[in-house]
Amino acid sequence: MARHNIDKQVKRKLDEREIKPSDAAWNRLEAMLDDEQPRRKPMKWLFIAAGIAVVVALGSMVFRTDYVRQPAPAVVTAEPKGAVNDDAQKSPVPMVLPMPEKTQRAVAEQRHEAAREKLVAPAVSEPTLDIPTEIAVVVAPESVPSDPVPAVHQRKRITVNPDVLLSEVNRELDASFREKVIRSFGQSVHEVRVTLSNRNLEQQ
Amino acid sequence: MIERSLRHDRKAQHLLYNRFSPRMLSVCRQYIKDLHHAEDVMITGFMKVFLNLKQFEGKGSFEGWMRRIMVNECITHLRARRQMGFLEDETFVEDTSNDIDDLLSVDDIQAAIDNLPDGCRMIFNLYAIEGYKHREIAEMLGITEGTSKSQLSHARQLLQQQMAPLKTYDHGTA
Repeated sequence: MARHNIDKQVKRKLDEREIKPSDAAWNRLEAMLDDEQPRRKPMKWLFIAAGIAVVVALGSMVFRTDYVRQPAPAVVTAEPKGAVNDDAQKSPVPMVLPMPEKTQRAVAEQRHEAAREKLVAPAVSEPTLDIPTEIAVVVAPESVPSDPVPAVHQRKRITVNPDVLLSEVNRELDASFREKVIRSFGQSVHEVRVTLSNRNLEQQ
Repeated sequence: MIERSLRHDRKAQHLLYNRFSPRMLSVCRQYIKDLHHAEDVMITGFMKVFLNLKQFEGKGSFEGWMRRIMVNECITHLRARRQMGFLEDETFVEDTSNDIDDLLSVDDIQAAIDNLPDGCRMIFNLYAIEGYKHREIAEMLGITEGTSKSQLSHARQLLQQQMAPLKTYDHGTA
């Protein structure tokens, strides 16, 4: 059946009409939507941002050029054979740690400076753990040849705070662990780069 | 906007709402006399649009798909309020073709439609405005095709009767 003229005319008029809803209408609809469709949190962007932050942090650690390996402080240096050390005999806990020659030299210099400082201004120890330990520092003559003072005869009494030494050892352990992690990560990155470059070459 | 609305993007949903809500409220107003009730139905309709958005397959116009949802929502609303009484008059009367004046305002036309009996208004809207066939209307409303045809004929006659004096008045010949 053909459309009636009145149908067409009414339809044309009504199709052109628009009625603006009230301002509160969207708020009501939004509240209903919040109940039915929880808003999606921007987790994707959070993950991307976190990933970028991790990459930047690792990259800065790997490619850091001013990374300085701190010398390993030792409590007691190795004594030369045959050397008689009266102070060492007096020490309640004598410890002997074999070390490489380079390290021995560095540590000896460090300890020598530290001993000088401590003689001028003794370290302030904590009241609860104030157990001064006397140790002897004996520096082998061949380890510090440039030292103006003959090292063999250099015997000084120094006071060492065990807490400070313990914290130094802990710091050294932490530093070595971090170094291992950084080295292994750097190797992994290098392997990936090499693999990718090989693949690209093969494809060419 | 539709893709983003599917992902519950509230901003995109708001944009869709802003674009189509004036048209959809007009559709709801055709069926429901009270504007506030029509707005309630429109909000419920939009809720269904957003919840069933993935069912829109992109075939046909999005506005047409929304419009069908709104019309169904209006029918549900009127049925719940028992505002769909039909005179089971099986006698089909052929319409006398009369035009209405183009100068009549849309408010005059809406007022004339509002004055129709509930069943007549519903069938006139579905047939004349939405373009449903009598068989489809009969299935939607649970009536016979004959009832749909007779109600439509009755609606047209009533509309012409109401608009004739308006036409004369608008032409300034009264």
